[in-house]
Amino acid sequence: MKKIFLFITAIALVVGTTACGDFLTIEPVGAVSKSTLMNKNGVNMSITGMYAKLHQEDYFEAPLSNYVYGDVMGGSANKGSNFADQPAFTNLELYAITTDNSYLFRKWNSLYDGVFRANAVIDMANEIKDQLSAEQGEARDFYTETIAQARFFRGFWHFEGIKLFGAAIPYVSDEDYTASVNPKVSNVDASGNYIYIWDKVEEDLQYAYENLPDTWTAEKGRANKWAAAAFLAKVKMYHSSPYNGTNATVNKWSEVKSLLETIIASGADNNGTRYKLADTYEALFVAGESDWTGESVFDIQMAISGTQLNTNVVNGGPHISMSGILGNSGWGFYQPTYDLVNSYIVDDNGLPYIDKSYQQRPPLTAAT
Amino acid sequence: MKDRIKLNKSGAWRKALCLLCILSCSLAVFAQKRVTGTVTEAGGETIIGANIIEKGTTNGTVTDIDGNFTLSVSERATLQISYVGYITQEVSVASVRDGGALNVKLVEDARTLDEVVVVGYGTQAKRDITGSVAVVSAEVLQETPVATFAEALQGQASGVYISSTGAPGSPTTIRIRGVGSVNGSDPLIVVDGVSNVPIEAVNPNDIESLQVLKDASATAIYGAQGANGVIIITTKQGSKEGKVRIQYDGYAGVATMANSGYDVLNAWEAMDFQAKGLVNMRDVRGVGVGLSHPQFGALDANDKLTMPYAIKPAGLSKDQVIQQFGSIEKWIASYRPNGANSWARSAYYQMLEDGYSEAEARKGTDWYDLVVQKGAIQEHQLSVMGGGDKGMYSMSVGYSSREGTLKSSFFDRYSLRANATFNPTKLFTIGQNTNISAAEMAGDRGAGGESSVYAKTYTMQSWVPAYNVGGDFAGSQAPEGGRDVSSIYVAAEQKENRTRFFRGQTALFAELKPIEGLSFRSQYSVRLFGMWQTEFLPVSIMTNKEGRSTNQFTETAQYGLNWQWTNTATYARKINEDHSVTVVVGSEALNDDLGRRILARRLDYTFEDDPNTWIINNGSTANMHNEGTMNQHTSMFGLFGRGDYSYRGKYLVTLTVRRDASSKFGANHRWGTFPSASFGWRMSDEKFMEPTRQWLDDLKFRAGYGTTGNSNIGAYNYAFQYATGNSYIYSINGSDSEISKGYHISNLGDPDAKWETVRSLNIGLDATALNSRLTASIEWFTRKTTDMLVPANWSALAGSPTKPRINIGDMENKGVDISIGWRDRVGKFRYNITGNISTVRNKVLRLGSSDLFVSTRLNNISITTEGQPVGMFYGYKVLGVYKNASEVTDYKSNGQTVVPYGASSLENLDASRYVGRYKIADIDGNGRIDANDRTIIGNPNPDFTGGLNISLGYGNFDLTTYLYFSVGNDLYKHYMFYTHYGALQSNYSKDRRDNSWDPVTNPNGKYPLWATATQEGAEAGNESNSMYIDDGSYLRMRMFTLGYTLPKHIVKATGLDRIRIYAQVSNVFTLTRYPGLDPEVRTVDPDNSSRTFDLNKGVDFGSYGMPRQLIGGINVSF
Repeated sequence: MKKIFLFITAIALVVGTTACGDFLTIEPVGAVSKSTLMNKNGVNMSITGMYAKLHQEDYFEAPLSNYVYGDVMGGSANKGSNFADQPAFTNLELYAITTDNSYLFRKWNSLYDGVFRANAVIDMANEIKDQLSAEQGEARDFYTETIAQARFFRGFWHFEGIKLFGAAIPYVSDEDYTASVNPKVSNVDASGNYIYIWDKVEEDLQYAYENLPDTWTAEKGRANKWAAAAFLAKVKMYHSSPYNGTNATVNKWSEVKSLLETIIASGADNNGTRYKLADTYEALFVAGESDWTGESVFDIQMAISGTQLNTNVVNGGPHISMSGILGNSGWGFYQPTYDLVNSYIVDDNGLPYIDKSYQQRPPLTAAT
Repeated sequence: MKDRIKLNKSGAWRKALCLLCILSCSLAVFAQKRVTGTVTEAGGETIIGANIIEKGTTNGTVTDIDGNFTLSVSERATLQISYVGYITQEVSVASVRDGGALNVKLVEDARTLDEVVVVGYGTQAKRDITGSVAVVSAEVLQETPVATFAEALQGQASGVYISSTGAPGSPTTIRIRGVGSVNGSDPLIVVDGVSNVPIEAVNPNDIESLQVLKDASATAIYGAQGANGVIIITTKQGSKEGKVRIQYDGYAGVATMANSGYDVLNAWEAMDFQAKGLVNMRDVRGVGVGLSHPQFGALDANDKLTMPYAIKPAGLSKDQVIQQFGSIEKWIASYRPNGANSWARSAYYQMLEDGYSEAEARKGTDWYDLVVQKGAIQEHQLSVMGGGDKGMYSMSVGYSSREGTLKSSFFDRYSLRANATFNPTKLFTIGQNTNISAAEMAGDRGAGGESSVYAKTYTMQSWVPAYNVGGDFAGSQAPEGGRDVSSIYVAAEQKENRTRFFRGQTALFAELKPIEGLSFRSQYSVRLFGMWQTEFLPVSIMTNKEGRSTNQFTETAQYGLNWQWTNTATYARKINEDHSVTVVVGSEALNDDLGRRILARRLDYTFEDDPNTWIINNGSTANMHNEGTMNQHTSMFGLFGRGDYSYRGKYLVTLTVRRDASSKFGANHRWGTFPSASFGWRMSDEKFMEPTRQWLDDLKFRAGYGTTGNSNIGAYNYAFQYATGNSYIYSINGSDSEISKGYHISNLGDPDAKWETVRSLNIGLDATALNSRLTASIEWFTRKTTDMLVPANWSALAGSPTKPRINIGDMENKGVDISIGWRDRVGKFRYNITGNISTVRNKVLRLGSSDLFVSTRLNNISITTEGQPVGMFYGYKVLGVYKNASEVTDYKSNGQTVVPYGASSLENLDASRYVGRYKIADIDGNGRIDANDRTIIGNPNPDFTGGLNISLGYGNFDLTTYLYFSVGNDLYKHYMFYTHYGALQSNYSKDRRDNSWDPVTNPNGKYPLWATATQEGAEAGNESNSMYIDDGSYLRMRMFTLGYTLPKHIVKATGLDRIRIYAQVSNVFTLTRYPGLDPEVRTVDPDNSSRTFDLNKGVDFGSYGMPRQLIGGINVSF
């Protein structure tokens, strides 16, 4: 009898181990693996995915308009709605900020996701560098332009972090990305001093400035040389500010000046429009006219195609556009404060009260 | 005989005598006589189909429909009379003359020791079981009037925790011996050898046996699926008796609410409460401005407010409406269902208009009353069973229809079962088990949450009318009226929103028994699943918060296909009566969830009220929304074996091992091996126990240790996935109408993730005593989960893609299960009492570096953290209410005044502002109340749970009752966020009104001072705190049944076999101090309401209270 069992077991084992390899290998449904994307087309789609981060699904916490951290915390707008609606937002408005405020947490996550997407593109491109280098891009080889775009965004997102959290935040490089799926990057050095990332952000944007094409003729949504230059100038200006967080004075004003002069002299958007103020102020707010006015150095591209898509709505759109003052519907967030409204009060000479004495005046309730 | 011969050696005459003796003996052997008789049970009822066998022969018969039998037996034969569930009797026929009558009374067998229990891939005699296996009798399941067997399981087996809701056909949570993993701990359900059969697909009436395998020595043979226990169900299979048995079981009744709502303020009370808030604002807080309410206006000379005529426009008197619109008629004529012009009267004036009395109108709208109903319930089942030597069959059709106690909620199920077995030869058996069920349901499913119908009964103010002046559902378009849409609106909307399930399952099997004791069995089964869902959302009036300006229709269809192939070889052998061995080896392949799902949504249906037009094609071509996904396909393969050895039934050993592989893991970590060993020692068979035999029938000691696995994680946890979709698209060419598709990392994988391993030790003692009247069992167990798969605690630097689960956790469950039973009969009176009690202590031992939180609108209400049970309640600890300013400054830690919540510093502290607010414990002692002062504020896990079954019988009457209790668990009264702190303009409860602190009228009040124009915020309303926690212990009589079996002679006259009628009440009473609707709270994953969830257990967020059902039923068989 034992023999029979041995026999059965043997058959089962043979069947099990031979047939099972395939039976047990199931690729994820609805998705692809990295190897599928390891070619020019795949890398290009990953680049698109990197740009897509400019649209925010975390429209409460992390829109690039930053109105929560700017307008509301700055006093130009009230949070709106009521106290118990979005309590973490309430706490920000009241400066009762706890260590686990979910808004700050989501914003932090979101900007490092931007960094993550940029590093993922660099990582892929490096793996097939030779193949991509052989391909022609807009002005240079495809590899260089890929890295330049990715470094533009890596700089952009780190700078977004600096604006809110200061310059002593972790800088995640593509080496960090490649080394570990869970990069551990400290913001302090071995002796416990903060590491400031200004220089690394500037390096990224400098590389982008030097390697991005002047204009993208067909794919106008991409960041060009002048967009990188403008952000680089902005970062350097922040860096030169006495409030740069480092307790050290940096003077890059002359660099900035010459860079800005170059931008003014030669900068243009991808439509070829030289940078300038829009012909009319109104044009900036009119659909169809607001693109390519020359007033914007870099646009987040919106497109209406289908429904319920991130590309259709302005960053934080559901949050802002449905506010109570615009109609009967909406959640009622982001209401202007009397402080903001009253700041439009002018004196008899038609000049604003720059001494802020408008704050003491009765609330302005109607246009006069 | 031998002895006699020996004895007779002494003399010749004796030899002769001996010869004579032998002769007569053999004569006696061959002499036959005919015996007739009747077999009855103690109560006098005849037993049909009892076996009568002449001892030591194969000669036998069965009793007929009247319990009679006739058998020719040898002169001095002994008859063995047996019947399932009764003690086998031996009767000598020596005293019965040829053709004489023999009446036998069988006594019910209290012992179930000879019972055969279905275990993994085989059966075992219950008395030989060494692992932890609970058997629940099918009768108990059928006697509880519920739609699924899981609901009926509550309190029936020790160590099995069931949580359900009052929704008809409610989803149910089953936990066997605690929570084994943060990944969900649903047990494996195996029906007729088919794994993962959904609970609601099984008609409880079809169940023949149900066993719960609790410890690893019983479940290790299920390897990677066995970590959370296994429930094995077999369905009715027919019989070989050659008799056709037809049975009808049915009941009908009504379900009613067993509670009366959340005790919220009525319209007038709400207005008075607002007045009180304004008075306190003025008098206690010293606030001079803003003392008015948008609807009720400012306080009058008597500090009262005025009920407005119109609440939209807000707060207008009738005169003001006329002044503004010209006349009431013109006002109504200018109504538009657009939100802006959707005028509404206050409920008071609307109800006066509608002819209600002054007293009724002052109460306003009772949102709870508007949505509760008496639900009709009925269930019918017809079954046919029979068979013969060549085959057996069992067929049943069932219909179950239940209306809920909330309007629009119902559950209907049609089910069909057909089981057949054929024996073409003695060696070969072939057959199939098929089950098909179709279910349809609508309405509230008991998932709770803010948008549930229950929640809507307290989130809308009582002074908001049910309908506005245009006849549309009134909602939150009136300022301060409440959030979103009303309860009656949601109930109406749910009416046509149906979900329909089809579940088919068929198993084909063949069994070959080439030689005695050896059998090969192969079973291939397929499960098919279909789901269709339609949802129509009509236009709702745009409110000041939310609304729908266009209607929308969504249709979803999904199918799923699973197959399973199981092969086993079993060999059983007894070696010279002392050694008994059974060996099972087998293999199993599972292929799960091949299938797809599509969803389409369209807007703007022209004929909103005509369901016939609700098809995708009739929707607008603008704003179309389509989705299509594939099901999460996985596969699994396992090899297993079990050996049972018994030495004279005294020493028992069971060894099992299984080797499993799952597609969910990377190629290097697929395989896991799960062994177990268990031992049993029948102490009562030992010599030294002889003195106890007088009273102790059986005593068995058991111990088992084993390993099982858990892979309850996402299908592709191992893989890095690149996906496209909304998060990855961008208009890369700068166009305003074109989008380029991007691909990016959507999921990070962990190719090194492996099985969660559960090691469990079980020690038990079973005893039967006092002539089998007393049965008792006690078990102690410990279960340790290692390498628990926890969501990766990676930092933001790893990006936002979905993180894998990685092996960084450990968890432990320890507990004791006790069950005890007593059964006896005194004359015609028979009774049976069984009780069980279980306790389990869960503890998270390791969890990587981060805690797991669950949040609602309130942040972090539940925490799972190391050193604590899973899902503890979390928040600030409220010490009381600051009664005066000096209490604020006197509250010190480390000698320093504690800066209250929200205050920036001690220098800027205005202590008087904190009077009447919660005093919060400075847990970390740093001198200020901040996020670090949040702590564990409650434990949702009961100290112990248990059940008590009592059944009594007297003659033809039977009475059964069944109680369930849960002691020592806390509940989180999440509804208080609305009813006590007024979140989102919701109504307040009487409890909040009557128990708020007030310096004069209620100096001992436990809630904050009520001093506000509309609502409050800060620590009370905005943060999870200990005031939300309450004791959730309860004792509930779940069922009370009185039955009567019609006397045989009456039944016979109708040509039937048996008729029993009964009346039943369920949820008879509940003893609890819990102030919410129902202490039985089942929580779901906030992100996926179809998933049971342990991480926020016990959060009462508008749960569907258990109904009270009154039913009458009948069982007929012939």
